[in-house]
Amino acid sequence: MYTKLALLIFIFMSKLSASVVTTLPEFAWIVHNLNPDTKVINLLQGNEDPHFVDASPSFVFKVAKAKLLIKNGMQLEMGWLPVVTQQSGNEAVQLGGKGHCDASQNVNKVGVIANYDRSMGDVHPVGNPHYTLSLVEMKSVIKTIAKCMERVGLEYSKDKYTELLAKFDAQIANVKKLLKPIKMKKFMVYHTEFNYFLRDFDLISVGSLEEVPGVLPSAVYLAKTAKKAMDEKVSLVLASNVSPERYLNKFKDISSINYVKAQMHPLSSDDYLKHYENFINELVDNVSL
Amino acid sequence: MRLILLMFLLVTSAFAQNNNLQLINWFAGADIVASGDNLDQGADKENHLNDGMLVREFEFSAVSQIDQTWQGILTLAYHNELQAEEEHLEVHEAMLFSSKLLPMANVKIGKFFLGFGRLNRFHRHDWIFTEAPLVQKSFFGNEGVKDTGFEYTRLLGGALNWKLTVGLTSGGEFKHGEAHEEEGEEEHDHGGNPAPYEPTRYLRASNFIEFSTIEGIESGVSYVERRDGEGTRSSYAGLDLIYKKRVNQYIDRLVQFEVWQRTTKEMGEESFQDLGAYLYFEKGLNRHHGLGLRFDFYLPADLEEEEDHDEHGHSSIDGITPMSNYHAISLSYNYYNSEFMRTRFTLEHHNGVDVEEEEESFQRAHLQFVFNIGAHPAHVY
Repeated sequence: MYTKLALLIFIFMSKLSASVVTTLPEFAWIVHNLNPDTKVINLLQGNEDPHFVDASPSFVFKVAKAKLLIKNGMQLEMGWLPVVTQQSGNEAVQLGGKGHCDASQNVNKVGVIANYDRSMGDVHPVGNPHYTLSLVEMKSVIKTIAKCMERVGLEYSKDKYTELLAKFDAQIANVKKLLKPIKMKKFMVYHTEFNYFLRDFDLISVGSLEEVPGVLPSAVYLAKTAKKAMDEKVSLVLASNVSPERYLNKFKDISSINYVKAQMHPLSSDDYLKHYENFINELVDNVSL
Repeated sequence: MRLILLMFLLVTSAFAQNNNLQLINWFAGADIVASGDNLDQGADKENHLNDGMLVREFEFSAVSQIDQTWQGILTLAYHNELQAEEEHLEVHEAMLFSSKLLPMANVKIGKFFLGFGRLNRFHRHDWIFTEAPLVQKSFFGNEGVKDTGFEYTRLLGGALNWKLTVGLTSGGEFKHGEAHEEEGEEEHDHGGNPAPYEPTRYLRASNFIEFSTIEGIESGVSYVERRDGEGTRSSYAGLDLIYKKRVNQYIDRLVQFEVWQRTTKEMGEESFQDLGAYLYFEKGLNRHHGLGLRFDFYLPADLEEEEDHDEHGHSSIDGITPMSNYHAISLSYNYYNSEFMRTRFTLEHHNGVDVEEEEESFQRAHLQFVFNIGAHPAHVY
């Protein structure tokens, strides 16, 4: 009994002192694929809205002993991560530190805004931060993460690195094939979370259900948008797992256009590529042909 | 004090003119409150708050890295308290902060809100209710206690995520009371005390239990000790707790609780104790609407032998000096306009017996607007 308890405490404590801490699960999955022996933990489990998370003291402790912290960047975690790194007292992972890794640094950014103020809603002037649903951009993320690991002296297998990039290339080809029957279909999005995905595969989006990003749409705007969607013959609305269902249902009631609520990030134990394929299959299955 | 404000504005304007603006995070927040009560219609006409609408507080803050180790934080505040007659300006924070000096630790040097309890650690515009609970008002004032000194926080770890904060400050300021310096006068203690005999020293040990990434409880125990210029020794022992469960963009459930016991010993006198607590629940209905309910309880010391107890401002709450159990209940409707603005309507019902052995029972209402502009720092849990 006591041995089991001691073992559990040991496992718990060893989890706390991971070498690599990531904000999103997909980054932890990449680290694990580059070197399965690296101790890595992700702060978020994949089902939260990463914009709106509390700076939990448990995050602070996890970050306190990390050698490397990998974040999404582009202000996605700006509401909570700065205070977590600051409270951790871990100089290495704070902004400018050797162990601070911004996974977005080589992403080909969309939606950069030169002149911005808060009347424009929940937008990110440095670009749309939802690039993790882009297989193309995630290839650049793999390269960035590998460089970050090298910088802090964490080893990874070059073979596994090449193998992983090849798996992404294969998945891109596979997704292109899966999307072929719906290529000319029109889509709408609830929030601007799918911009990179739509760009990767040349899919057509005719607008957003939100009038102002991050602000709930008014009934009048929703009705107008529903009419526009019907006129444009929109096949499907893409929404994320944290989009408000009430508004999606209201839109569906007016327009009879179906929606999918996609899980934006893989859950902790999920394989990213498998998760991605599930998302594509769900999308294809729900498009009205 | 006006000179400080003028200098502050000049400096900020100068920075706003050039590209260095990006290196400094500027932030301003305001708290506008409309209040009314029915005390002026009852037996206790002297105690009612200023009815009407006013800008209760306006904070202006600049935060920037000074060098590779230290960060500088400067916050100036304008106050026009409901309980006070005059407006005033004061320095809320002027400190050096480092999260890079020592591993797993944070250090503060200068003037800051002292790191004990729950409410004390937060600026008032970030509080989840409009008015301070009775125990806070009675022991520490209308907002958090601030003073000048040194504070060290160290992560201890363990399965319960223990953290320890210790602090030592001059003792020059403590209770944030009603009296503030008049123009041209020397600055004095907000509790009405002259220069202190002893510095204020405090510690807080806290832990955190995580149920999931969106749900957890943080609890802490605090101990504070000081002796004022008249030789009165006070110690405060407190327990604070916060539980939060978040659903995407809003807090679905929140419970906040604090209980404090104060022991006061005047020179050559017996010591006496008073006790107070509050418990607050909030239920978020969606990302815009939330309902809050707060219970306040305050049990003052036995004052039969303490005719001049109120003299030191120890147990006075909005001018009322409770004689026995004093309690209040508040119901609030919170409208979260956006991430940066909220509107709150609160109804309070107070009940108790004052020093003149008169039953006090009155109602008070507040309508509050809080907003911030600029780069507000991320919030701690």
